[in-house]
Amino acid sequence: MNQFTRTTFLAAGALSALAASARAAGGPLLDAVNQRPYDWGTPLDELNENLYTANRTFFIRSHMGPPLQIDEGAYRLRVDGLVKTPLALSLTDLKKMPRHEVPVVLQCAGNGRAFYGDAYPTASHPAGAQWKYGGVGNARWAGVRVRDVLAAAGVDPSAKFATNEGLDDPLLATTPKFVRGIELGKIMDDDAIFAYEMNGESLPYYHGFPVRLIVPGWAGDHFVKWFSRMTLTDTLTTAFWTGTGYRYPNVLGEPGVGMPPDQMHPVTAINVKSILTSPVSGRSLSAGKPIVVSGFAWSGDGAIASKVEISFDDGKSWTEARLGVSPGKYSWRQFTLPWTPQRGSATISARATDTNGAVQPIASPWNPSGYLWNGIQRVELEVA
Amino acid sequence: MRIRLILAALILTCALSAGFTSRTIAADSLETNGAELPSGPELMLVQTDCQICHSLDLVTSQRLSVAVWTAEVAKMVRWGSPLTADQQPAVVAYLAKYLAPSVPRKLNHPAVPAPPITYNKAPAP
Repeated sequence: MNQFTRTTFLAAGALSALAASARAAGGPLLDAVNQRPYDWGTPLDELNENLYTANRTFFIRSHMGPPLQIDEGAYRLRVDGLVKTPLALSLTDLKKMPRHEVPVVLQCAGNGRAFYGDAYPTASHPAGAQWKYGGVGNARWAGVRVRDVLAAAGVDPSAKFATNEGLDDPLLATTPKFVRGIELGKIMDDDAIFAYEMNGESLPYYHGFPVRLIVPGWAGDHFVKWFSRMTLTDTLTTAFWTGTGYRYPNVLGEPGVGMPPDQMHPVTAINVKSILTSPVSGRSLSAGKPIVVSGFAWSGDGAIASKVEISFDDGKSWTEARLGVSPGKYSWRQFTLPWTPQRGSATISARATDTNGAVQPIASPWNPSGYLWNGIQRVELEVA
Repeated sequence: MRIRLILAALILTCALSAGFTSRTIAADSLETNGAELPSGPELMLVQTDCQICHSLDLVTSQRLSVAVWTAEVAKMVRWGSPLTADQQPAVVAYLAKYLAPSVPRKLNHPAVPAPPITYNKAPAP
């Protein structure tokens, strides 16, 4: 056993012991996609628990790791650039402004990136954290509309974009800070907010305390945590995380082959998708004992999931599931379908359709960074 | 080497302050995701120079072509990895050989305790 495999073995043992001890203590668990900085996904059976994902088990995505400490009293949300009056608002100032609450799915742009490797096995996999299903959650976010804050600042007519940044800094000065640019039109949306609450509580530390930008219907890279500064500009920032990172091909290329940033555009809206949260793969079921197959479906900007079909024969035939009420156009909604399993192996899949008529594909088109995977999930089960 | 040690100590201090528990640090290195990374000078460089900013599972979970590993390593050097120009070709060749698309992958996302809810700083270790 070489050094690497020996330490691997030891560490795997340590992690198993850690997880076993957490299970014994009854504490919730996350799936460590990357251990440091935290890229920790929510397990499917944890997502299954509630329409709104619990704050403690909501997935954590880190670019740099969180700021070491946040001084709530000294915190200011700054708005500057092409405005008449630059602002520096305290959390108290923000809470005096009209409060707006909205349920929104938050999904990492790279959620499902791991499946590109399975779908295109001979191509280079897309580089990045190898998320499976757990880089997504649904929460009730509350705070102040961005447009109300911008109205207080007075937007100059020449402003077309915003550059957004948080309090998190890279470990090394040579690493580009996470800064994300966006069209001003999108954040003037009625439901784009500076959130200071998540599911009725203050934003937790790992989710951006005290303020996080919520950009409904778009991918999570726009949901800047520990929000500190919005600068209005007349051109879109070219800083790394907008000019090079989080970009999608204008025209799809050959799987496995990279593409220059100028042939790609920033990732924006998420797409139609569903996840089966019960039962989960590997679960043993009893023949003849009825269960309810369930999960969640959603879509992106301007569309909601309007139909979910379930297959029990690996996609040969489909049965429409019952869709729960949608609490808002940016929330996900639950789907359910009663099922009585028969003895043998079964492969269950869910396929969502949205109000624009978009349907989940078997596999999403390969793109260099593996964004926006919405391929159909397969759950493999043994029925005894 | 001295610069690497100082950097590693600095990162460890920052990571601990940021709430990355010592258990997490200890477990960093140890995720092969189905690949066998043989020991040798390249492995030592990967362990010292990649883990300054992220755990090794970010490396071992990926299966990339030579072209993509070349681009990724070059990006990491621009971002501050202390790999020298002389060391980069060997590290790229090593990663491209042992973490190629053709190498079977068994993605392991270990279960970890969800951090307790805190607000202005990380939970106590």
